[in-house]
Amino acid sequence: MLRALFYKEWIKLRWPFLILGILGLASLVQAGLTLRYLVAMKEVGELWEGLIIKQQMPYASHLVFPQFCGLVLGIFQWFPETHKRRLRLMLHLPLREGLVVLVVVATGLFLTLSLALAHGFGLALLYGLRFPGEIVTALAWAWAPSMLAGLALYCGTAMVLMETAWWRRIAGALLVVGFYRMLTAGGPPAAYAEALGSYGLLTLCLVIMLFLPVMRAKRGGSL
Amino acid sequence: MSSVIECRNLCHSYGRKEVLRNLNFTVEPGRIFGLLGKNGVGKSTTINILMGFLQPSSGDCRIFGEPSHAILPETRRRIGLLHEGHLQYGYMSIEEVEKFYSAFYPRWKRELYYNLMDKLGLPYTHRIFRMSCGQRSQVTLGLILAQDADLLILDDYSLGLDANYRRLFIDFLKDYAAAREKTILVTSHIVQDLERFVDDIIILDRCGVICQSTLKDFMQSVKCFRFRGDQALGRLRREGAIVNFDVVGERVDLFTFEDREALLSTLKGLGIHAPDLEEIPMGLEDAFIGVTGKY
Repeated sequence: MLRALFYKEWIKLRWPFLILGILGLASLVQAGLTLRYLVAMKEVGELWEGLIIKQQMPYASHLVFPQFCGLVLGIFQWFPETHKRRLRLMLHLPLREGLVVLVVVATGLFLTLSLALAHGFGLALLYGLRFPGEIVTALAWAWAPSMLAGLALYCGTAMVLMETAWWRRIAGALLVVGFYRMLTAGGPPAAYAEALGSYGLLTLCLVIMLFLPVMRAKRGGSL
Repeated sequence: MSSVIECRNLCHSYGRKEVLRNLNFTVEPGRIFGLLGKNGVGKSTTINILMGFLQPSSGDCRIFGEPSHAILPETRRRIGLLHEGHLQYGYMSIEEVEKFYSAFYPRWKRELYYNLMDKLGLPYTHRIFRMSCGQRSQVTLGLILAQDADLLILDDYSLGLDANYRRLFIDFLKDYAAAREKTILVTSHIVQDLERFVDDIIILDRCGVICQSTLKDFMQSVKCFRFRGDQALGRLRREGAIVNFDVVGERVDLFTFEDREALLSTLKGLGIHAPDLEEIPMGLEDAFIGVTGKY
């Protein structure tokens, strides 16, 4: 039964996943070309000074990719599931509601994370081929909050689409946008290093909040 | 044998608006039960409570002995739901949706589904969102039949269907239910279709029940009497034997569960003289409109 649930999610998400994968690849190609240009056009000293002393992030624009993945997969997964009260189809399946939502949410998060990780690994590889481990580590620190922002956007999209009351949708959206802005406020690569655990816990809270509309429905609220 | 559905003193309100007041009914195994009523009398609310998507303000609603808002997954497996508008996963194809649902139901009857799909004449790779409402209704019907559920709850199955698809739907279900002793609860805004389908009916009115009986008893007990006379207009009201009335020009139709003499006695009490009172034969739809009223 869980395989069947995963099968349903895969039918919904296979094309967006594939297209995002291609976009991720294109982003990596562009990141590679930018890096090659920088290496060719800048003096070595200037480049290293920028990366190490000034903590510049030539890869900054590519860190948007995990966020884009979270948003797109959230929309493609939850819009068909909630449009015209279709959530009722899912909730009538002969499985515990919590388990059904867990599988669906876990699938969405897993696919978002897979794309983000593959893209992040690609970036790390590109920089790792030309620079020492410290710069790759800095890239990883910069990538982590962006990845959390992607998961937060996925949760926010799902929450807004799952909720039936407009005020809850708006409250949920404001909450997620606020959290998203905190995660993408910028700064040097390791700006979030010390608080990353807390941000991770907050993201986990957002994931848990996705169960609330279903629990509310089972407690007697309308759906 | 215990009831499949049992609703006791069911009440529900949306804010201050009371929709259901002390609704009581039971559905026995193997029966086809029609839940009828005009728009806004609480049919959808009742269905939502039965489906477990709404908890009643008070009262008790049980399906297979379990509270409808807390049905165990094993029991849910025995219930086939047809959602209003033939709700289905539009992004799936004919074969994908069958593959998906078959994993949840151990008694899955694949051949029943594909028998129905073959009548559509569409390739199995055809996506549901590309189908007409009638074609989609066949997919949802096929899925419910293949599930081999003991109880089928059909919420306004006729919505958006033309006469041909409605007939196909009813014919398939009737044969299926008769052969397998299934219990069905059905609502439809096209009452005439139910005449050849249901065994028992309940007719809801605003916050109350007009009638609950077998279809046969209802059709035998409800009568329409017609007379002509404009003097009746000002004096007619629901009283005594008069359940409802309809006045068109000089023509007056009276609906009653009593006999001719009881009706004449009520008319006499109202000061109305109706020497030409004649009984008019009715179908289910006429009887339904008669007792619930046009407005």
